[in-house]
Amino acid sequence: MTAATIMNAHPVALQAGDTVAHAIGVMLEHRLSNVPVVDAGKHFLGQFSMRGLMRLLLPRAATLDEGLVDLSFVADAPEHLRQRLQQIGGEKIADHLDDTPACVEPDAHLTETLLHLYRHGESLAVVDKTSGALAGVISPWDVVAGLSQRGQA
Amino acid sequence: MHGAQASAAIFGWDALWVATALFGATYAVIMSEKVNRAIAALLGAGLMILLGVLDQQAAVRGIDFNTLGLLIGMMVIVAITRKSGVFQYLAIWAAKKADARPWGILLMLSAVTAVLSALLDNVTTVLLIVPVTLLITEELEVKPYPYLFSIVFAANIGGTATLIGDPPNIMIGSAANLSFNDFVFNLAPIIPLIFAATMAPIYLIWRNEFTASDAARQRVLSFNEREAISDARLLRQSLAVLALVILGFVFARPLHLEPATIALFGAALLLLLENLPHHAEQQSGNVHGAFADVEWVTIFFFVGLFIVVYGIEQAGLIELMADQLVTATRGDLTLTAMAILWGSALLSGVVDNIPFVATMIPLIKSMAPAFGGPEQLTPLWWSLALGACLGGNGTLIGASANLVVAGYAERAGHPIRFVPFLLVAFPLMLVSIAISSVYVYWRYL
Repeated sequence: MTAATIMNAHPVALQAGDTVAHAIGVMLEHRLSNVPVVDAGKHFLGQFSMRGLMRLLLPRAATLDEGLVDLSFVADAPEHLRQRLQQIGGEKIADHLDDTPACVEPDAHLTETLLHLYRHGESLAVVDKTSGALAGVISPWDVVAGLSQRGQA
Repeated sequence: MHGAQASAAIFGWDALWVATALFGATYAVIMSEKVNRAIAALLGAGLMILLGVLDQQAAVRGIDFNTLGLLIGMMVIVAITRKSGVFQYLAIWAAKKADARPWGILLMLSAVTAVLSALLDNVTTVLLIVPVTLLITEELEVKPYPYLFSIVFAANIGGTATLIGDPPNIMIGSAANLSFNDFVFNLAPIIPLIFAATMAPIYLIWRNEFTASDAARQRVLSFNEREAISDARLLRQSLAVLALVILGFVFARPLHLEPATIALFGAALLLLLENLPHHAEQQSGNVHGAFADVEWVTIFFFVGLFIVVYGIEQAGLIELMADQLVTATRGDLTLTAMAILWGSALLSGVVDNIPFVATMIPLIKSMAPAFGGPEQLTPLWWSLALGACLGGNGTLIGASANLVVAGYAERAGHPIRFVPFLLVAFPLMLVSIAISSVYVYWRYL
């Protein structure tokens, strides 16, 4: 069993020119924690994720390497955060995507795919190494569903 | 064993030439930054032994364990203390004391940095202060550059004031048998003047940047510094041990104790207090974490350097260099002190001040006969300390703290560039050295 046999071959994807607000809408609609981003030729460019969005909302001092580990002293300011979200909503996701995310190749074995999923905790893009094209997306749900069907068969 | 005795290395080569070549090659590799400095120093040290300049026993004698023990002890104490959140508390308290006004915040954060740098090492201080500074400037919606610039200066200026404030002082104190009190009485008095003389131009240069909206200031004023204290029990224990350690340094001489003993005992005591309530597994994790926070790269860098410098000392190079310097200054103490002060300051801007000071220490010691004994060398030690510590402010690569701040600034999207930094920092560094020159001349010469 390989990544290609159990992946979702028709995943939701974003374009690099989409805005952050559009990306948030897509992620909320499909309840996705991360979405692959592609260019017009369906070449994989990276991932836009909820984690990345949280990073944009938090102060930079807290998301830096060796930054603040505790923000309990900062007063709660939902209005300030709402303004911040509106402010970044118009920005292009190309400026905020993770362009070196973990991904697997279509012929990756299931155990290797499982290890990546375990390490990264999010859906993985399945990318053809030669062409750079996005082949699909694989999530823990896909793996468990695939294994269950096998078991039943 | 001195130069004449260490005449031959392997294959009958002249030990002086072998040691000089190894010393030059080691320092060149360190300065090139192509190889990690600890690797370069340890390789140089290993070659000093393998090529017969030193044997292993002699190499071990060259290592100043007092310096290493003091550094390690203080690093462990700070690693545990920082977990209490006290440093964030101090930074937020300082910002609020300034009523969240930008210039006041800059001044207060710089003052807190200078005081902490005098009691801890500079790198640790900036690691603790810079993240809070970035948060405050982000909330104030002001450019962080002037604040980060001031913190660099404050860290290096504050660190000059005490024995434990900056690694060069630790090395000088240990080698010249100068106590914590000696540093406080001789260097600390000039520090407030240098600090003020640095802050005034900073205000003039960036005065137009020091504005913030009321809403932004309110966000900073709404910070609750008490919430920054994550472990009140650990805070009390840490401050108690830190106070005991400082007291130990103050009374080290009458107690016949070396600073390394005091710092390592303080570290062990704090580890005990922190871990007493925990079971064995948790204790193991805590102790492992505290030891992991020790900057082992720095420690092994020191080990290698001490051996390399001991190699050239034993081979006779240091004595030759000292003779040259005394000849160049015609045996005039004032001229020698000024040469060391200005030379150290200018060189510390471009080369790592730790290997420089490691070389200068035996060199100054070798001048004792020319100036009438070791007790006559006091002005030279203070010149070296002032020059090496303050000289680090001259360029972005002049001190480790500068590079740490630059790293944070880069990651936060506000890079500090070498030349713009140099254009402001170098003249300010020269001002601090000019003040130091007057001070050294007036007080000791």
